[in-house]
Amino acid sequence: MHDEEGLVRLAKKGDSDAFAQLVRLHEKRVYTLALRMAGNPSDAEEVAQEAFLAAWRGLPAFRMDSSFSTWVYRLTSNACIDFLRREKKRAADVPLCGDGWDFTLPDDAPGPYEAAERRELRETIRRGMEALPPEQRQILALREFQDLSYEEIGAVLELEQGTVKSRIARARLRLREILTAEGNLFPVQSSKKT
Amino acid sequence: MPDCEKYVELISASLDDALTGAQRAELDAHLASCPSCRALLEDLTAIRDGCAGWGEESPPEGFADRVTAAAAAEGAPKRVLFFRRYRSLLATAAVAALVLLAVRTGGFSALTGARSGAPAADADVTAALSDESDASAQSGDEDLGVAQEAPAPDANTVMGTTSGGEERAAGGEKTAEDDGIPAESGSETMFGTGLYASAPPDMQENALCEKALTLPDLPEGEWAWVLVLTGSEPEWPVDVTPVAAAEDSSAQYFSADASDRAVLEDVFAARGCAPYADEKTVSGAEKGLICLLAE
Repeated sequence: MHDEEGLVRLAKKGDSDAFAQLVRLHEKRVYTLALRMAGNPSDAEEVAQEAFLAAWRGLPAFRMDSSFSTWVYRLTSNACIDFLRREKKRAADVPLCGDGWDFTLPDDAPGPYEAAERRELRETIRRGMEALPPEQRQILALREFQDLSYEEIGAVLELEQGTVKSRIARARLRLREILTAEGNLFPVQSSKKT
Repeated sequence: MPDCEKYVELISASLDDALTGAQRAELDAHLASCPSCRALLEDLTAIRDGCAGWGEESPPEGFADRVTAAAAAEGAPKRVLFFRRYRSLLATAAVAALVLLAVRTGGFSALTGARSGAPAADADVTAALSDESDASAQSGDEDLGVAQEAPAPDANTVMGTTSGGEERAAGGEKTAEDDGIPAESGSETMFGTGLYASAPPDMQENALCEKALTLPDLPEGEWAWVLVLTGSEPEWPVDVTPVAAAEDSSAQYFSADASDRAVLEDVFAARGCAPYADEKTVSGAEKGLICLLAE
């Protein structure tokens, strides 16, 4: 049984079994990031597979300066950006269906009314995220959905923490503008305020 | 309020508990007197709350198996072909000769012998430079894997001695051993210092060898090193303008000075081919040429 570093060293030499173990270790996080950015399961699977294959091809060159996890995140993030740009070119006017966003609530979900509120809120956020430019969607997905720290995001995107901080702020501001422009910035919140 | 812009970042950072005590106090003081920033904080807090608790998703059943199968179908990761171009015609000719010799002899093993192979390489120099079609005709042959030219500026070094230590320095962390080839410490190879080969190549790699020998004229003095990407035109995440392109558009040449390097490294990393785009290599690659195998 190898630890992750051992698996990476084996995979760097072309050991496909070691690579398979690495895929299983990271598939959920990679797939989730792809799903949050790409917007639907089939695209997310394509992007996640693309990211892992890029890792496979690039492993001999991987210098292990960062963790494998950070590196794979970077590959996934880049694959997502490429995908979103391709999609933008291919179907500029066709909105993503968004059927892949999981609105399933955890077991401790509140009652039906609160669950409906939360579902509505998430749908609002989903639409707003899809309207963001790819780079802003990327950094918000890493922060809000993957819950990475500024430091971790900086490592993934190879940015200074100060830059991460300011880009997140701009992305949040842009998301707020989008939701406001749509006239539906958090109807749930609004109802609570009254 | 004119000053509000500077508080946006603080408001955002406050959601992430990333404020110092002084920043917190400054923000609180501002919020106490600024209704629009209070509204912003309220909205961003609502957004943050709405993003919470989505959790991780499981990929579709069999995802890992499909990825692994696709990787296995590709075979072991391809290595990167690496050249540097020197202004010295002799050194360039020597590299050309080595490439052709490797192709003609049908095996890298023929190149890892003693210094006695050098005359044969010399004999091929003229042919290499005068007959590109010859190289092209051989491109389907095998056995030149990753070749990294020595930083040595003269033909003697290219053809001559070996130093394992310099190989590591020139190629970053890679060594022949890393590539699965037994280290031949102390032996001499025709590749000389810093040159090594690894996994068996395929036609694509040899085609790139050919490409490396048929470069368009690149602007002197305007590039420190150049990445060559073969294959289909990639989706560049940023606007990086090639300094030159092959006539058949099969390759583009990118200046990779300090300002572009990080960008290009990202691109190549995403495509799985950034092995030599590192400081250790680049620092010695003045006026050099780096060829990266795209896929």
